[in-house]
Amino acid sequence: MRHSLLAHPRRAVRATALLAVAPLLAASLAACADSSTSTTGSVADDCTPAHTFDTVTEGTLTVAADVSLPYVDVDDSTGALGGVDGVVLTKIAEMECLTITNATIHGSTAIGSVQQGKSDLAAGGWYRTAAHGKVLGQTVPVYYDFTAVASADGQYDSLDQLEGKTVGVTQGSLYVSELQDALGKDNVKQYETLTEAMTDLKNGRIDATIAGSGETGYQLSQLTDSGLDMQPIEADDRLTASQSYGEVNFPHTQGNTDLTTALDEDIETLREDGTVQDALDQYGLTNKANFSGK
Amino acid sequence: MSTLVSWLPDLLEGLRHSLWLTFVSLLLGLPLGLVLGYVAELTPSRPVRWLLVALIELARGLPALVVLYLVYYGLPSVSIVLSSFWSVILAFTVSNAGYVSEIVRGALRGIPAGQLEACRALGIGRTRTFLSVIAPQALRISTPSLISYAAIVFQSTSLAVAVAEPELLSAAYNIGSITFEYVQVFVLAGALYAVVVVAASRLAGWLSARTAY
Repeated sequence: MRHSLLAHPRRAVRATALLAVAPLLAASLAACADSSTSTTGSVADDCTPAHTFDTVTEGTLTVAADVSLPYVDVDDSTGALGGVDGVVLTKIAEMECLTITNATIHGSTAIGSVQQGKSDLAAGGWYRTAAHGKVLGQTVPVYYDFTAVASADGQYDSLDQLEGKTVGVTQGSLYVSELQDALGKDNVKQYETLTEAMTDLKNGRIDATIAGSGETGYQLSQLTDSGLDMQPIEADDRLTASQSYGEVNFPHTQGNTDLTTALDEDIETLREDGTVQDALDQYGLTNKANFSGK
Repeated sequence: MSTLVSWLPDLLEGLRHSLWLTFVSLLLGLPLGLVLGYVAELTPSRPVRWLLVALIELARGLPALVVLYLVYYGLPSVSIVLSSFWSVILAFTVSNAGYVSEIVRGALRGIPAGQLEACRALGIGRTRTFLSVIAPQALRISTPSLISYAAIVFQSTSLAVAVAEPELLSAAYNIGSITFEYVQVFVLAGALYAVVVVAASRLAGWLSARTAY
């Protein structure tokens, strides 16, 4: 015998209540999903922007922040951006009379956020690459980074030494394909964040990590008594990133040429007035090559 | 289209790895769950039953991801370092044993108690009663549920992405993080998951119809 809700008023009431509550629940869950978003900064009424360009949301620069010091940090209490990229972007927002809305997004998902039009740009030590250039706008280099190998006692500094070893890299990093070719797919383990890779390195599950010098140095500084150290990787034909410095930039919405122009010119201004150098010094990227790329 | 095809080798390798994780974790979890379920249901000792039921409930109550993190990140603090593969296997085996034992207990309850009494009256020993009378029927009753559960375990292997194990979701994520074509690659990965799960569901349905009393 089939039961109908009408034949059972209590069930009907419960079902109606459930239907009424479901959208509220969905809305509250959606709100929770956005809880890592915050807006900071204020704009004076008489502020005159250095450039005119469209943003995802009018009056604010939406930043997909791949939080990873020394590149980007978000202050838990104020939501303000820190890290080298964060300091520079905060200045750019001031110059353009914009507030900053930042969404904390890990790894390559930050790039996806820009690609999908949810964010104006991504911050987090992103290098200029041909692959990014196909789907994103890229700015002039803000500063430079070099490729580093972290291992126990810093014992490895070349690809030759890493043959037969297991190397950890972050998903979507520009090293992945070339390292898979050079060391074999099974020897390259991909992690969502460098922190996870470093944890496995410390626990002995992998032999080394390969990542940018700034991020690697910062991670090592957080692991006390780990016995780990890093070395710049020797130039090797098999790894493009080993042959030159990484050009850190702000990947942004492709096709928004006004935004590209504004970011490029603002970056040049901030490199000339010492803002970029100060930010590099503040976050420990003190090698002169981090600024000059040489 | 050619791009999608070019991703298939990596995705199929990930699928193979997911199936392997499913197989090994079930290979270890099924017998463990079978023994747990049998002893918990049929032991005459109440303390033993309570203890086993408590363990089963704990294994079922803890999310598999929590168990996985405990194994992967927790055990190294007591100098036990398992590879990501064995961490996943251990975590899933614990989880599987809990769920399988519940399925087995349910199946055992479906066998009329009179059969046990008949075996005793005929002087058949406990082990032979279990192997020749109880287990075949319990297996027959529980097989459709176990196949459905195996499909859930297969889906759950996607949690292994959290410890950088190169299963299907991880393979899809790696491709997406390089190509940024997340929609396409996740749709393709989802289709591969669906093919396996739908096939398992059909098999469970077919077996359920064939084994119905």
